[in-house]
Amino acid sequence: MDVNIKNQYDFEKYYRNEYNEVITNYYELIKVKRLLAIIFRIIFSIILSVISVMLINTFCTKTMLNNYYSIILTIYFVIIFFATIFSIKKALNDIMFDLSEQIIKDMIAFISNNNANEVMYEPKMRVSKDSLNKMELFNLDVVKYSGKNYIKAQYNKNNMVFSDMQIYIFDTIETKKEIYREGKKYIRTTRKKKKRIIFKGLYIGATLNKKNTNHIYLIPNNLNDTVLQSKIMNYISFHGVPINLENLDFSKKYKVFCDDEVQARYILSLSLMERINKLDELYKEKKYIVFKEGKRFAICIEGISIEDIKKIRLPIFRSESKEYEQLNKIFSKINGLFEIYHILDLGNELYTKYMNQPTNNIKENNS
Amino acid sequence: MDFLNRYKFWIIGGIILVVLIIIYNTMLKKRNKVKTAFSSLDVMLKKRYDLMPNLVSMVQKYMMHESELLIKLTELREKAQNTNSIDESIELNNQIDDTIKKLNISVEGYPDLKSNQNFLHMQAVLNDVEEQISAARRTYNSHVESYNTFIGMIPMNLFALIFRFKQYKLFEIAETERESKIWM
Repeated sequence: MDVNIKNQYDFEKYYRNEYNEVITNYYELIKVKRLLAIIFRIIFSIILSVISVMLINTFCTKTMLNNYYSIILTIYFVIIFFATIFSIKKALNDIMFDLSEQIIKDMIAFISNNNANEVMYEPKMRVSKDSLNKMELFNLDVVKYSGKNYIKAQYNKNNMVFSDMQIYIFDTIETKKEIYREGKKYIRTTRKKKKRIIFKGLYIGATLNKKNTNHIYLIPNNLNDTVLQSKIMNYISFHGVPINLENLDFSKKYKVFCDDEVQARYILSLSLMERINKLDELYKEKKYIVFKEGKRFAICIEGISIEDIKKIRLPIFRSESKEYEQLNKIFSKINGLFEIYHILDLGNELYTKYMNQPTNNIKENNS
Repeated sequence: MDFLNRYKFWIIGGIILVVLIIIYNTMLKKRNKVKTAFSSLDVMLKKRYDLMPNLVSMVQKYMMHESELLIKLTELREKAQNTNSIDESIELNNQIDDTIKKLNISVEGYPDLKSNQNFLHMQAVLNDVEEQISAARRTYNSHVESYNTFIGMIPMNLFALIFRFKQYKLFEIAETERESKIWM
């Protein structure tokens, strides 16, 4: 069954009927964790204070400090007190941060109509080098990448992959300095490597509703960084030639490279170009899109990340109004990611519904 | 200077000859691109011709009152298959598009046919072929436009006349109409 995009009303209904209870359970589960975190830190600070006082007395520093003893001790205890408070707050925040990960997983399951255990969410995992290499969007011989928050979920019979991704290169900065030694002039050259981020955003992998027989790359036209442009475009021009498409708005924003012009126009139909324009209105940042041989398709959108969604935390002490507000924010952000699927109309099976099914099977079904 | 004065006509002649060769080669390259684009379009059109007999035989059992439309479609297909002229092929395919469109509208009146799985499959396949034709047509039109503009410009139009490079006809069809065409 096709899954439609969820809205605020759906979420409110889900929260009132089911999810409120789930959140109650989560709070119950973290109650012990929170208590332990607080007790552990208080005990630790008490032990630290006692040991400090004992050491001061043992080494007779009291007599050395004379009149300042009580003032210094007070300042010391105040510091210990605030450090303990700060440490408790951080520990509680970390617990809520872990809870956010669980909530994101639940939201994805709700939006994609899956059970939570059917959704894969690995906060420390990145898109595999092999699959990124297959997409050939960034030349991994030239650039390096890192990533986290890997999510894989089935949505409308389509395996969707989301992951935060950072593409970077190391620029070598060379500095020359003149040195005079024993009356002779020497030039000392030092080389330093500086990390330069090329892309920082979200990687989305999905399946297209049309079968593609070649590679099509859509590169933003407004790349200011010439090094970046050449690094990517050299690689792409190796695969194909640039083509001009009919949609002027689209052509202003993207350079299209492909092996086969007819295939590129088949995939980038007039309506898909319009839909990509619509997506640009929603996410104004740069986008890199690739359609690969078969039905695989990937889009890299700058400026959005799952890590930012994780920062939206529930209140440490439960308050339903605040909690709903925060959950709603998380829901809207994740729903926005799935909306990309609907904007690009990837779920439209109008043309492919019976394509992969042998005619005999259809006849059997029909009879 | 003496050398330039002595051979100035040769040099000017040489430059003119080089320019002529460049213009001729560009025109030839652009015309070949148009021809290649048309051959890809032709492949897609042939795919459609191959599907049309199946479509006709499938719908004729249900659409007894639309026999005129079906006969017209068969005739147009035969003509389009046998023609060698690009312009005629474009004209005939525009008529085929028009007839298929009319057939689609007529299908609405036959609920049995609309719910037939084989027919749905046929529509899905045909729709995909239509999309491929649309892509090939857009490619062809873009090359024709580039070629026609090039040979239409002064002084290329004179050379086009001398070298007998004729303008090609655009495969014009309302793309919006094509995109919004829904079969099911």
